[in-house]
Amino acid sequence: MHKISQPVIKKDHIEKMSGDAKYIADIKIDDILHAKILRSTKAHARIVEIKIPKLEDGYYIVDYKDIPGENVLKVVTSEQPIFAEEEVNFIGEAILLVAGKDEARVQEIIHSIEVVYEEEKAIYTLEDATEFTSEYGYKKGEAEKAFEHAAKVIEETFDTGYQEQAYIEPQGVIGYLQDNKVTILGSMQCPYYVKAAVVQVMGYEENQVQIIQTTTGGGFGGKEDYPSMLGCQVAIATAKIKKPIRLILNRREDMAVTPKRHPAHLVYRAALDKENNIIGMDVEIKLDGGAYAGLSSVVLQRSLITATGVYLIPNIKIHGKVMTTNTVPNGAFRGFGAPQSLFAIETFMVHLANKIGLTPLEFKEKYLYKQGDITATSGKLQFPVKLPEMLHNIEDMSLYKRKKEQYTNQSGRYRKGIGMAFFLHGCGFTGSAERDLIKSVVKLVKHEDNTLEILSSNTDIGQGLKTTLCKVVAEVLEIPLSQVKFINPDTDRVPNSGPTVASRSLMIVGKLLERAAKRLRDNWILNKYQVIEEHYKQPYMIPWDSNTFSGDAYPTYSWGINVVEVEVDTMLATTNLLGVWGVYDVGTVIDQTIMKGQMEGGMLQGLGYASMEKMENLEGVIRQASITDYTIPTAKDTIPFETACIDNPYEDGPFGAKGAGELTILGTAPAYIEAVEQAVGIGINCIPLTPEKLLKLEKGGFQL
Amino acid sequence: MINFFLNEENVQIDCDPSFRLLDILRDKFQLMGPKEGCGEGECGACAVIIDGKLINSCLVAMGSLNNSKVITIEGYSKTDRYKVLERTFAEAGAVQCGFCTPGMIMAAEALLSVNANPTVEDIREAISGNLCRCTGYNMIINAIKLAAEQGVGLW
Amino acid sequence: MVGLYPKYLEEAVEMKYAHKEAKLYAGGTDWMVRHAECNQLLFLNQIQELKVINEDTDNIYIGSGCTYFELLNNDLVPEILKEAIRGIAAPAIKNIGTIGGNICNASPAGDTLPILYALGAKVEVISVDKNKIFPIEDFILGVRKLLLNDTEILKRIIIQKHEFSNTYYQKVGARKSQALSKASFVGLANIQEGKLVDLRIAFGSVASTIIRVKQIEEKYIDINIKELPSHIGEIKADYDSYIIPIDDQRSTASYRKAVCMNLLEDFLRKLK
Repeated sequence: MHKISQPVIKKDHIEKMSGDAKYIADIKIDDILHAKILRSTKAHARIVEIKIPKLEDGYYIVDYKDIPGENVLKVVTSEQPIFAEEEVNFIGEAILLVAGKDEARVQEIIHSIEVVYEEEKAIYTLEDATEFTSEYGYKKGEAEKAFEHAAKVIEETFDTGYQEQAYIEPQGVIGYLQDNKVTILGSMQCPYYVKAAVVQVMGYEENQVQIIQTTTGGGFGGKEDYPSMLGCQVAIATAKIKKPIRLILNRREDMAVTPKRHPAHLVYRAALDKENNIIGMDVEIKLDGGAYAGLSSVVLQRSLITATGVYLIPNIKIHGKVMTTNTVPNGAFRGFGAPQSLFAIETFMVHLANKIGLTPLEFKEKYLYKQGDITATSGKLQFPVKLPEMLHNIEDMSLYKRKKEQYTNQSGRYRKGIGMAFFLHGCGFTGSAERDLIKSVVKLVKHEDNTLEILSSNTDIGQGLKTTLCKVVAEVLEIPLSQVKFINPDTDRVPNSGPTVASRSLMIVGKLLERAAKRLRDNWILNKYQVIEEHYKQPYMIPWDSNTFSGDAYPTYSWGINVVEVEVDTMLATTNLLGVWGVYDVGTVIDQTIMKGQMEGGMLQGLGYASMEKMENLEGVIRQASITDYTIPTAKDTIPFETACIDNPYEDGPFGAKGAGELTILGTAPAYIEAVEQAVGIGINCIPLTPEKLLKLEKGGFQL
Repeated sequence: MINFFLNEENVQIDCDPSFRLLDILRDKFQLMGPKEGCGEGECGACAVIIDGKLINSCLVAMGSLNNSKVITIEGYSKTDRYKVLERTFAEAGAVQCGFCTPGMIMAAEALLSVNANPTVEDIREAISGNLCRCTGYNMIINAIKLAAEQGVGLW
Repeated sequence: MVGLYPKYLEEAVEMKYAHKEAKLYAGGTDWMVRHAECNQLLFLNQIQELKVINEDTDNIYIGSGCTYFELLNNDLVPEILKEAIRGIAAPAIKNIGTIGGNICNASPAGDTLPILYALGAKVEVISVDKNKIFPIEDFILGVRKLLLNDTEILKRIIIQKHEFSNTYYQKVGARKSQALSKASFVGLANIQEGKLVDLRIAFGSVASTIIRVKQIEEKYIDINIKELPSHIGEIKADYDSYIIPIDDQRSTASYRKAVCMNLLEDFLRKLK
């Protein structure tokens, strides 16, 4: 084990344990006004009239007419209005804001406002959608030729559902105005995203907008873009009313209006030669983007790049679109487009194996990536790929092969099955976006008392970044961890080191801090205030062409294998977990306990995605918009997991670290589905696989 | 006037009896440890201990508190038992985003106070109304198990 | 909002008589979520008489204010009822939620209800001038509808002492804790000298109230247990028109129905 991997007490442990940590709802400001949003109740309509009753003093309405800058939310591009003007495109779209001293009264006012709509035709499903906001495709080799010469072509379709981040802290922000400058505090992943959005909406100068992250109760991607929306709404309100404003969503509102994992429809075709080797693969992916583009184009890119998983397929053709529907816009969630593709490719490989009479593992092993292989996007796997070693480890832990053989030809009420999934995750932004768009800057400050402070815009949202970044710096300088501090970022104090997304923070920003710490070590002047600034430098990559999707899509990859063993109760179509295993390659582990937390948490989220986390959209309304009806796993729904990391340091990560956060969610869903398939002896092409769906599939001709 | 004991101090408050204990704790007593995660008694982030039992403070009307003894994380964090949990939660890596943590600690105390030597299944049951989205629970379960082992004699 | 705080049941019924519009607050787990419109809340949680569990030679009496936790810790409470209570929510709810609340919410998903129907429980309702006793199925009229007027309070639940040689209970929820039932099933039976002498079957979450059909149960009394398997198809057909679940955000009608029929069959096959 590397010395840095030794677990430590997390920097924020004590304050989170004692209840002292201040989340956004815990911040009290005198004379603050409570704000609530009036939202569209129609999926697609023109607003004919808004009837607002006369308001008493101290209560205010804020709408698009109060926006000094542009009425549009800056995400990747800008499409969604902050407040609707003449048209609404989904149920839950913001129309106006009401603010006032008494929260209950504000709610009453919201209820008393009548919006007159003229309804227009709405599209609710991927099936019905015809318009799209983005479209990409790429090729490697000669896929058309492979299909022409194929001895056999096998096609399957896969469907994946919504997944709600279900962070336990609902979203919220507070804003106030001081000397023509607006300050936004909030639960968020990306302070500079919020800043850019507020600057655009307010038409302010950069120095007139300050964003401060408050301790954030989970994000998982859900607090990547939406805090920008809340930040803009509150900035407009506080600028108009000139009083501090608090806008905190309640759980039902949060679940109904914030972005979720995209439902997807994926069509996979494999061209096989006479010996049943895969000679080509053709993949078509459609994501349900909802009413506005938001982050969807970038999510789709990752879905497409990950479409063939960890397999070397000589000829491929990949294509996809983000479709527009009159539903809540979807966005980022741990994995960011990859979970959909990985579920599909892993399940497809199992089905192909079954069809040609090989075990899934025998079949998959023939195609596993090796170092030096050309990736799907014609990049090159520059670094060691240790899948064989990982496979060996997980086989030892899970006894997968033996159980796979054992669980054949079962009958009776309870039946067992086991599944294994391979996966990878490209670390950081796609292609050269780190260099061309993000351009991270960090500062390492040495105060006169020789304590250090990290100035970075990256946020600790529970993943332990405050601790891991400080560990990197302390380890380089060989000083106690207590001598390094990293507090919640404030854009007035910290440079833009980029957003906290894409499994990039520790690998990319940590690397900058490692370099900064080395420079400080070499230039250390006792008792002197020193500031070291570091800028991102792109490591060697085959240049990325974003038009053809060719080159190295990511600087490096993290890898994983999961095994899941289940027992299905065929009478109720319910499942029990019997075993869950994970082996991961995240380079050097910066803290074993923190990494274990990522593995344990990610794997359970993946199992929820595969099984119980059902969210449906019924004519534009989220049917499970409460934590009662949208069921995430409880402590009784899980079992002890066994996990391990192999050592595979990456030269361009701090102490050899690679990305880890998203990787951990990717494999349990396909492994779970393979296990259930084995138990019940039927093919499954959709998640979440609820008991309702399983029972329906069983009735489709399979005798139990 | 509603009379109750808050973290061992006798307090009175004059309020609408239908107000939620959670709001009174947070707004009137500035006790921010209990969190609102759902407001429907499903997530457990607002859990406190009332008369020795784990209860979601979002489901408690002030009028139902009659001389009850309410303990929040703020009061509990002054105890020796808490110090053990603070240590074992660190050791086991049981805290990530921290939003569920105060409620989780209350659930741990409610369990250990009646069962000083719980099995893993007892712990699962005890925290089964406290949702955590970060940890996957096993590390929390380990932390409570460790606390029972390390805090022998305290519970 | 005005709070009323009776300490005794007698005081409570007087207050209820004087303040007919007052809403009754027992554990609060449901009221606090729904926050039904009202100006007066009558708090029942200080009344010790509502927390009493006792017995006489024939019956067990359970005070409506007993929490799930209290029921689980009382030796008089029938084991099959405890089994259902263990499946309710999670500890923080079990510690305040009451059996009276579960009954008076009159939700077809109420977890104690199928058991109480199957046990033939009665409820005792009290007002200033009288006590009334009804079978539970007469007390619950529909979803959130009770035979309870605005001067009355549910005092206690009366369960006749009765041993069953066969008990079977299953709740089907979306997860193993904090789950509302998608469907639930209880079967109770006694067999003497190879014959079925007592049969009670109830289903939850499959119609607007709990389904227990005494005519069907009676039809199979005295049947030889060895012949029962050959009647299973017929029994399922008998229940077919009563099991009329809906599609909602938690489950589908077809799943609910299929699972109920599977459970019914499993119960019948296991009778011995």
